[in-house]
Amino acid sequence: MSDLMRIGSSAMNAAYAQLQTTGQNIANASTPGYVRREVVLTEAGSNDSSGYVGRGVDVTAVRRVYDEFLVRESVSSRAAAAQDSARAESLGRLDTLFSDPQSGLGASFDELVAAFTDVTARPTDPAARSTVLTRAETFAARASRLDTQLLEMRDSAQGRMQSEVANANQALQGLAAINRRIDDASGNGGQPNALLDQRDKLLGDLNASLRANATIGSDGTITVTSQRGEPLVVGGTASRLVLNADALDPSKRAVSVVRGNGVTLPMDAGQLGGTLAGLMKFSNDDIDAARAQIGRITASVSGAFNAQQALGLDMSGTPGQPMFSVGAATVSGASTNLGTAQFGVAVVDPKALKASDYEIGFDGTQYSVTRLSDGVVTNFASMPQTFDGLTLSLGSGTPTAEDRFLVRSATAFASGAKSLLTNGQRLATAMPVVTEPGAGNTGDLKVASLDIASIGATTGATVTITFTGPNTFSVNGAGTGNPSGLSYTPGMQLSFNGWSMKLDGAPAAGDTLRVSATPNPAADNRNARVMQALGDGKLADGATVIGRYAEMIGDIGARTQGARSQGDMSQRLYEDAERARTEMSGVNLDEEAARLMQYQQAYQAAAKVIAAANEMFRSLLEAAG
Amino acid sequence: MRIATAFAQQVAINGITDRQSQLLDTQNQLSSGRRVNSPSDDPAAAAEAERLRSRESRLGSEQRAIDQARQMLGSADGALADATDLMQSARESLLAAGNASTGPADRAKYAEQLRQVREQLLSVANRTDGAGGFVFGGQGAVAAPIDASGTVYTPPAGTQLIGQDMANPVALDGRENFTAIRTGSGTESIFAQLDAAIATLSDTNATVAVSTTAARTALSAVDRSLDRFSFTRTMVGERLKAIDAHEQAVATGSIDNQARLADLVDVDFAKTISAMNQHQTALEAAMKSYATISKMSLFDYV
Repeated sequence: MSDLMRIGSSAMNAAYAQLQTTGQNIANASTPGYVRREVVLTEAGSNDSSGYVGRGVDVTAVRRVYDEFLVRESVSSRAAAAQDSARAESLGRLDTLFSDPQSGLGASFDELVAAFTDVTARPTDPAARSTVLTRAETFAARASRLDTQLLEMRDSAQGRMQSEVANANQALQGLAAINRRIDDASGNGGQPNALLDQRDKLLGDLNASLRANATIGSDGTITVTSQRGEPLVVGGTASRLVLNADALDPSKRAVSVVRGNGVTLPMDAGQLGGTLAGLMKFSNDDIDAARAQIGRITASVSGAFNAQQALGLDMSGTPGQPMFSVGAATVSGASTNLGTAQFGVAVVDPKALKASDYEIGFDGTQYSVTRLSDGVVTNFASMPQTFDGLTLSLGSGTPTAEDRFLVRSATAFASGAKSLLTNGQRLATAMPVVTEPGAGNTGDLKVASLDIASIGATTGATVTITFTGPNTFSVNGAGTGNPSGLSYTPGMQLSFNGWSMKLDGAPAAGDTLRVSATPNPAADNRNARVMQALGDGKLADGATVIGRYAEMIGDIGARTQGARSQGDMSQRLYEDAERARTEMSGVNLDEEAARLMQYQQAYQAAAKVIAAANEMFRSLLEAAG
Repeated sequence: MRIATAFAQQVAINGITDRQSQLLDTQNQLSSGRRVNSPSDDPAAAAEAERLRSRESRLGSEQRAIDQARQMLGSADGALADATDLMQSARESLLAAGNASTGPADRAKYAEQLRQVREQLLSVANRTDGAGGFVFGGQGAVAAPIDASGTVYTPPAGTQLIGQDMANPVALDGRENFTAIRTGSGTESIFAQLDAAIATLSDTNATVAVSTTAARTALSAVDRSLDRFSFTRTMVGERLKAIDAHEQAVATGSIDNQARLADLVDVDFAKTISAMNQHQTALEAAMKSYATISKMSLFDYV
């Protein structure tokens, strides 16, 4: 009897536990991170001699239905999706910055070039001159504004990184606390299912911020490490993540792990994963790539127009002053350097500048210069050296092996871009010399082209070329040495005093050509025409300004497009992993509804068994009197 | 295969929001008229669009230079026409003055006419171009190019040019047209030649022979100047024709630019409207199916 009672009551217990578990599942069907439970029943066997009937059913455990492998898949694909989505979203904002061609830097450059049309037609017109200067100012202002906007985007991304680090730290603290509670709870026997759910959920949340690997102990506690192996949570102790300035470039950020014992380990940016990695790639790489391209274009334009100003005369006949100035290139040492070296850097050839900053390394004997845009390394045995339009020199001190230095060149130019001329009279529209064939020449000698290489003390000296025959001529004038008996071929170049002209045609004996200082520089437009032609000149490392700008637009578009499609793909992978995980661990309400009915029936049946046992006992009592 | 209820709901909701965002994208394209609204929409097209924009700016400058050159050459043509008229009238005066039967008093009258012609010719030669420069300003003049004596041409001789793809003159050479016109054996200033004739013809004591010679000499000079003006005018006319042709090329270039730009970045309305309809239908389907499926629950039957 008591055996049947026992069987019945154990059955009721079991059915009740199942009903409760089903209820719990239904209640938590939408709770994030909840893993469905099921009751594990085992037959309560007996070893008595009466035929091994059994003693009912035991509720062994309430089990979480989950697969560790599926959890791991979901967690790692979540980190990848978060990383790609963060980068794609950030790049999307960078992309929007360049969405209107009419308000871009290229348009501003073209407007500056276009302003020269009126100056070449009317060099004495003050309005035409001042329009050029206004457009120059607009160009410089747009370049520096663009750089500021890019820096604002970087600041904003770095701010988000700060809060991601805070989120990650919160998750780490939470996991350490969970570990302590799981430890306590498992001392009491049984699985603390809610804590385990919470543990896995925190692990997922952590991976949204950065990629973390986890090992689950047999007691349910979790050990978390970063992808490269730095310990993040060990037992009840959590490490702390810190966002600090990068050692080489303090304007950039790097993540370090501060362990429980105070030791700080820097984390490798390439192995971070999660939203932090996406934001870091954007703020450290993508932003600087854009800034370097804008800076290089700005420096190329500035260099070319300044050089051309210097080769011309302004309205008062003075050689032209620079039209633009750009931010200065600097070299700084990493905060980890041990040596005393201070480097200097200067732009020597704006036409050769690349859209990149540089890193200088020293291994004890030789210097290595890495171009950051493409990673190309050049080694030098000594300083100073000239490369990519820059001259690098060791100013003072000596470097120690492993010291690193950052050359901020291309990213420095745009922020300091300024237009220097305010008075239209200072625009150097004139060339320093004019050429005039003799009035009475009988041949058809002509000057096909005139170029100025430099303006010096003798540039304006009058030089007369006299043809003694159709193929011989002599030169007379200061700075020429007065050569005679020179032979003439059509198309030949003749250069003195900083000018160079191409002679053409068939001169007759007695024909002359006179080179002299430009008498009315205010009305001369020839240098202005050369400046206008800079619009199509190869000012930026073998390409035109617009060519480089268009290249940059395409690059940003491609980067963004690529990041978006990568984001789509990793999002799909994450969804697939979640589908697989929830397939096993998620609650299906219809399934629970069916089970509810099943367990209700079981409960009722078990109740009947008890009633039957009760009935039988009463019968026995009655029979016994 | 099990499906978690919460997950299925989320997927259905994601489906709806994805389709909504697709619909929004096509609506955006239709309202802006552009398929490429930012570089990421089509990086290669965006880069090419930037280059086309720049080319369009260059063509605009070229057109402006064309307009300015045409205006100046028009002024030059006008000046040369006036100079020609003046020299024709000088011719008549000289013919009359050189006639042996003309008396000293009449010769002096013709000399006065010549003086006035000479004065007007000088102001034609020093005519401004209405834009701060001078028609015959050579390589750049800040003041009247020819002095009162008519023999000194101050600015550097030559022409001033503008334009990048095609260079056109905006100032002509006053030296070869006035102060140093080529003769067979050197150069002469038309003003100096006229002045010489005026001096002789005004002198009432000059003999007929001397006066006749003076008139004849000046007449040859006037004829040479007429040849010169005609030559220059022909050159100006050729230039204007060439400018017209270049302007055609610039206009065609601009039309090509616009067409290519439209191909690259403008929206294909037919295609995009049909895409929008598709997205709309898909969104409706997603919403309807969500509404239907989410209503189904075993709890309704239990």
